[in-house]
Amino acid sequence: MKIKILLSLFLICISLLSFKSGKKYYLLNEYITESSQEFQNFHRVINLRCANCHSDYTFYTEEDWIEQKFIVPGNPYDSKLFSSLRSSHTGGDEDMPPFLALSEVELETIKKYISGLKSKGTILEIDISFPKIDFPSTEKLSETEVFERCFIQLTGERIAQNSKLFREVENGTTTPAKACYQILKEAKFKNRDFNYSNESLSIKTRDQLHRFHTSWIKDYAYYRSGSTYLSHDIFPMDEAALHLTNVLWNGKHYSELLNSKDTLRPIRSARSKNKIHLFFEGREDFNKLKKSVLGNENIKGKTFPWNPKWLPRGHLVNIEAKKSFQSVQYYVNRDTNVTMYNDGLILDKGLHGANGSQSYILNNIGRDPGEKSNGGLVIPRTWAKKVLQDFMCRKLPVIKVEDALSYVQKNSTIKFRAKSSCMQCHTTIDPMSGAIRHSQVVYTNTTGRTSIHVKFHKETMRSLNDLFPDRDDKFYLRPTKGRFIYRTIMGKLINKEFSSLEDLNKIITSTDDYYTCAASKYFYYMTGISVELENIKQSYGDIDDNSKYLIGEVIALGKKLKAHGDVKQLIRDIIKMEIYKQDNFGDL
Amino acid sequence: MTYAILLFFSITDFSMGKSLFKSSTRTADKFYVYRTLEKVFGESNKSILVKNILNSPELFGGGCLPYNVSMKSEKFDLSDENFEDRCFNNITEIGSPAFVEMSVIRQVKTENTCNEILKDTKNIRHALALVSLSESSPIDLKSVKRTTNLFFYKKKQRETYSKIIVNNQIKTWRDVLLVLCKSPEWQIL
Repeated sequence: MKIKILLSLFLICISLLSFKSGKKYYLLNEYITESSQEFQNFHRVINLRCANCHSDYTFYTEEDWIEQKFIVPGNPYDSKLFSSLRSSHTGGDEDMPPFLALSEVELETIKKYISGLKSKGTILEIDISFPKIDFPSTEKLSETEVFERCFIQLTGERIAQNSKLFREVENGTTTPAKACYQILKEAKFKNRDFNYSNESLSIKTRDQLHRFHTSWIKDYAYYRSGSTYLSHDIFPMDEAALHLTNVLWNGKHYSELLNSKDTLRPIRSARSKNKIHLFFEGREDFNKLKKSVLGNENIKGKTFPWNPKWLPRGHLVNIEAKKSFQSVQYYVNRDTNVTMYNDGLILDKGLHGANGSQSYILNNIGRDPGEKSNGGLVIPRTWAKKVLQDFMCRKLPVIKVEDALSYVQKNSTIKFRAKSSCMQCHTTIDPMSGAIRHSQVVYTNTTGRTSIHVKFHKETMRSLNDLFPDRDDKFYLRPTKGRFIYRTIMGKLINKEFSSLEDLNKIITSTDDYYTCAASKYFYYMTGISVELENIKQSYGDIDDNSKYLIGEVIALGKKLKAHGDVKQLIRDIIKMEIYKQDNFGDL
Repeated sequence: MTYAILLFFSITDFSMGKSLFKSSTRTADKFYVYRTLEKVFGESNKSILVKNILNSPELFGGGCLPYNVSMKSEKFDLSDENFEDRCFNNITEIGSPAFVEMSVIRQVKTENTCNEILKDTKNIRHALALVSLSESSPIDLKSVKRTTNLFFYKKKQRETYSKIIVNNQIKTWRDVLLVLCKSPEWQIL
């Protein structure tokens, strides 16, 4: 009996030990290299006295400590870390750790390390590597099968087996990746040089990928979209997707998606003239609507007849930069307690890039008509969140709690600005939304027969230095400045000021993450595998090997895309991958 | 038993790690299903296919391109230009997913569509003519293989279904086509 109890206890201890240790121990031993005795001593104190609550500190490199302003090299008394540890009785900011202060020896170790820091060389480093997977040859599809697969994905139909291209793949003259790339190349706008494809197939290919692009952007519901139905006929509800499609079929570098200065104009071709509003196509019982009017329908004599020009219909045959725009003299801020303006409104002009188009802002601004940004509670922060989702494939928060600490507004009247956990998200999205601070949602008239637009206010006030004002009633009239505070997938902190949406988009398109995101979106379309992107430097030790493999692959695809910029080539690179050639895409 | 459980816990590797990906079955979208069935059974089935397939992006995936459509009147008509691209239920279908996982409802919809189409012998003749067969052709391995090619691009699936059909001594071409049409695998890429 005693033996049984002892054996049980022994096994319980083993199982608990294997559960308790796990990743942290593994990570330290496998991936962290230590080369400085001072850092080792410093790291030991941090691990022992701080890491229980601040577990992230275990993985901080020397660069992290400095970048996040916890340490000022060579100057312990200006370093936030030392100031928090040295106790408020001796002039420090805080009494960390709570309940049991550091011993003099421990404090001296921290101080000595910070004082000795002169240069910025990385001493503690996490070696991130991405494993490869050997897929079984028994599950590999034949060359013609791989070609059929990509052909279906790109065109929405099967290829005729007596076609020239199918035969070339069959006899080994070309590869599936090259063959599908050829179909993509011939699908460009205004192509007259068909070797393997034709106009009809090219239209199907363009439509197929435009549908994918519209699903990428996802949200398409304007404020009270039934009442504002007319908007859909004035500016394209899918303009952000048109930017993606423009990049693909007009041979632009992928960075142009956000860097394009143009509002886009779809060129369409139809045999017959369309007579129905776009929004009501789904309603069999639709009655023709009265003519459109501008102004305030609540007050007699305050309306004006108006005949907006409708967007073209038919197959998309080209996308061009829009040169002329529609405008109206009168417009209103909302449908009750109305203010009518008569200073003119341009109806169909966007700002900069896909994320600055009228429809993208309207779908994602998260503000009611009439509201003006005040820098505090009322700012277009949901737009910033959506930009991170759509173009960086990142969910909030995108920084560490520690990154946000210096931005916490302890005396703010806005509750979430005073809490570090909330500010982990708001530090990024609030200053980022400054790029479209001058946007205000307005209507062309007050009743349910109207259109909705973004009015971009002119800058008339000088800039303030306050990144997080509680309330500034002139905020929407100040320069469209802000900061992009973001930690990349590889853990690097970006903290840069921008002066406009154009400037912000330049920062975004200069990151690797922007291209990795595009790669992961197309990879998902081609394989059904959705790779979640996050700060992997932080979580590397916790991630399983299949995830590491997939993340490594999309990062590699993204790096290539950043260099060549060609989305067609990106698709070709995906088709060339071993995982793509597997039946069931490797069954991961 | 207790020792077995404890041993299991002690040797199980708890450090498998978290997964940062989700793998979905890469199905074909509603346009592929629509075009395949239209091609195999003929254009006369358009209204059945619109009602069951194009009308259900939530089951088959694939959004809509409303600006492609040019409508003559407020009443939807199959002769409207590019009517296939219409958002059949709501304009926000424009953002529907490019593809959707297989589901029981999708399978039921597919089966109903196949039953409805194959009620008509004209459609059976249309499909068989595409592979140079007729209703009087013998149902043997060679002929069945040709019909499987109408649906499957993967050799493994063609061979599996050919064997199943021949080994189960399916007697009529209608039943052969029903098996193939209803099989979920041809909608999986």
